[in-house]
Amino acid sequence: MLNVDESVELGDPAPSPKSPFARLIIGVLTSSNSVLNEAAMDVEINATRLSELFNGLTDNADAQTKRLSKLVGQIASVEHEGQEIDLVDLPNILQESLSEVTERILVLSKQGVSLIYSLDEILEEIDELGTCIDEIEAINRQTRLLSLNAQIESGRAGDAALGFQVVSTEMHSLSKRIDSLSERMRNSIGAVTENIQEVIGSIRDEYQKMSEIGAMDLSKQVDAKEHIEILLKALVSRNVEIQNVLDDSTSASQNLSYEISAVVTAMQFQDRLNQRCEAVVNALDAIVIFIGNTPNLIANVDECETLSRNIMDGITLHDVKREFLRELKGDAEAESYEEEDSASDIELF
Amino acid sequence: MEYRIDTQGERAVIKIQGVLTFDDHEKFKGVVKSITGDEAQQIEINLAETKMIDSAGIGMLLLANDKAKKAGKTVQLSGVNGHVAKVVELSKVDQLIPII
Repeated sequence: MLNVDESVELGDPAPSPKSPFARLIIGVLTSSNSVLNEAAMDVEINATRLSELFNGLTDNADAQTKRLSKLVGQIASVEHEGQEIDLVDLPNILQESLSEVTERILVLSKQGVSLIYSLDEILEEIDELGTCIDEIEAINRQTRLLSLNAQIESGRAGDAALGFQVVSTEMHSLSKRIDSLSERMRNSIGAVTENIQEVIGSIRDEYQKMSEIGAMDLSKQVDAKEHIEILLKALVSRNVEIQNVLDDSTSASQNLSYEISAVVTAMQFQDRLNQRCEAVVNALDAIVIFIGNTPNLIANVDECETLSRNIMDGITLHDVKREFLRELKGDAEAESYEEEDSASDIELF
Repeated sequence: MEYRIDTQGERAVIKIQGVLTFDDHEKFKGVVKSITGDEAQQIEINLAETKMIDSAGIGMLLLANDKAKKAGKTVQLSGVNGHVAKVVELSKVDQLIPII
């Protein structure tokens, strides 16, 4: 850098814009100005970009955290009486319970109907028994009439029919015994019939009551089954949702990686800044040294040319070199340098 | 409930119309009698026009199936639809009496 305190003699005629040295200085200063401006802009742009990238990273990280929280909240298990039940198993467990209950209802129903049919049959048989007793009584009445007749006849026949009288008296008492026997049978049948009809009556009442409260029609069970199926479908679709969230999360993670790479790339601007500043500093240093060491040579065209070349060779950034070339040598050389474009220039690491 | 029987040789089709609930158990005796008494070996109980069936109704069908099996006959259900279909599915009756 030019030190203001040092008084440097710039040569006998003050350097005019047309002198090679003057042109060199103006060229270097103009280039430096432009390079520094570009550097400043580069820094600003990249600082802003970095800011944005970091904000983006933070937002992404936040979003990921939210996703994972949501996921954790939906994790598929339930605790019940100290046991953990997988939600996917729950519908099956419910279905099994439902089926078991339904099966029992059906067994009871079948037995109930079967019982009523059997009782009906018994009643029919009892009716049949009643009919038989009727016949026995009818026969008995006949028998009694006969025995009365026999007694009357034997009375008329006198002593000769004494034996016959005994027989007819016996027949009479026998028929009396049959009377009381058939009465007992009738009472018995009556009691049994009453019992059975009571049983049938109470079964009927039970069924009536059950029908009234809808316990027979299985519609609650049908509803329960449908509810379970709805639950199962809901679980399946929620699993799909969870899967989608996981997929989003995966691609978000990938984006995070890309964004971090972008940050790293953007930070390379710092290296460009270094090289730009170095170029300017070196150029100005070279001039200061030249003026300091060989002030007498500032009018020497060849020496200026050499200085110019030295300054160029020290520039590492392609763009900066082209800029300096344009200011010091003109557009034509800058263009041809552009075309050459060596790949060996140190650009970005 | 009302029912109609249509026998053709080895096969009899018993069509049940209306509802089949506990109150129909008297009438259903007739169905059971024709199953055991009929010549037909294959019995098809058609429920296409059965609007509703309760647990007693299912019990009756199971009973009819038992009696048929004892008599060496086979029973199948057909025309299962609507409410009856839901109840049949729920009670897994189709595992005891085949459905065609």
